[in-house]
Amino acid sequence: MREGFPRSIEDQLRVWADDLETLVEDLPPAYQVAPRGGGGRGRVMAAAAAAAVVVAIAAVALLLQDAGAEQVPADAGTVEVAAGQSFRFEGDDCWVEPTYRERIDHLADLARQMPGVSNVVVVPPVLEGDVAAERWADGTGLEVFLDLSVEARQLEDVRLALSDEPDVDDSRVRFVDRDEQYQLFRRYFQDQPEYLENVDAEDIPESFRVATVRRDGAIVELDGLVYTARTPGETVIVLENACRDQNVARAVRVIVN
Amino acid sequence: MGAPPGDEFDAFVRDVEPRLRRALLGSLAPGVVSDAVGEALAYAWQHWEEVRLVLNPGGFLFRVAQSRSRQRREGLLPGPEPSRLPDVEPELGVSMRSLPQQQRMAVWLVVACGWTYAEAAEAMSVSASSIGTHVARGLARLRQELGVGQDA
Repeated sequence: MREGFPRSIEDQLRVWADDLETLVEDLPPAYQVAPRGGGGRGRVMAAAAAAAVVVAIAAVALLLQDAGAEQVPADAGTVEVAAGQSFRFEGDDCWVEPTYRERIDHLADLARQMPGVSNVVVVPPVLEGDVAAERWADGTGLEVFLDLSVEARQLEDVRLALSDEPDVDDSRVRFVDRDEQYQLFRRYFQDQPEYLENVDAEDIPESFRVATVRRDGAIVELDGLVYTARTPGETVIVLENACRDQNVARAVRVIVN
Repeated sequence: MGAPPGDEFDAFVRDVEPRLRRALLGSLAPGVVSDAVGEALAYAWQHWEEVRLVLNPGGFLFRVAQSRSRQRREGLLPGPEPSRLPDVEPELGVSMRSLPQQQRMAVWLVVACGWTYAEAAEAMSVSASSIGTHVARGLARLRQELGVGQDA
């Protein structure tokens, strides 16, 4: 740390955020923001899906207020959990297998470090309003975009590195060439001529669309060490091997049946 | 889905909008933050019956705002303005951008923006315990890279 900067990291982060706020123009009141017009069956369906997510989150949040959480038996191999039932993991040294979301974020971090990679986009948690929502409809978890000038050897290295990752379904690492990307781009932005006029095929990067091995069926909702099932018949599996690997007393995986 | 009563939504905006804007500065370019906040609040207006039930609406709308921002989101945390910020170590920006995405976001939301673990967990779709881990590791790495101790 340079001399003259005696503040703690925490203080400096807050000062930094204060400064950035001054760069942003004052917002108009929210009710002056014109809501997007509707239109199209796909958009309606996407909106319904987003609303379902909101309801699910709200339901889980309310359930987490229930203080009657049960203790998971120490010797249980699996525990069937009814919707709304809560239970508490033992102690602090409990490891919960990374969720689907955490694993694709980890993969994205790895991919960003690979030579020849320009950007990595992870499936958004909320798709409503995303013009490219169909990109994720086939189970793709992340898309790894390559430099416009990527070399053939780098491209192959990226493909091999992605396929080698244990969380990647190596049968579903698909290369999307420039022609296909451009066609997709024109479809996604068909209603926005300013984009179509200013972007040519050579401006569009190629990519790898990557699907992960989905070992868990849903994002695990945890508040501290309390888990509440959101759908009927969820199963909590105690992972003995993971206990050894992670050096913890309890390791669990949650599966939505 | 019904529109919210004006007074109720005004109060909601006064509470959420400043915190949401500050939080988004950690992952969006300053020039698009206002639009992203506007999109998120428009979503809240349109889906009020659901949003009002969410325990951490700021975290949820953070996700909405990010989802509706089509530009590249990673690594956009702009550096401090040296001419206006004599109290911030210039290397802090470099160190923050070098953190893994989850750590960077957790540190930003919890430390720079003062969000609770539960709010940050909602925003990042991870557990509150994961947020604690990300914050601890992120701060440890920042301290190591910038050569400061726990108290400095």
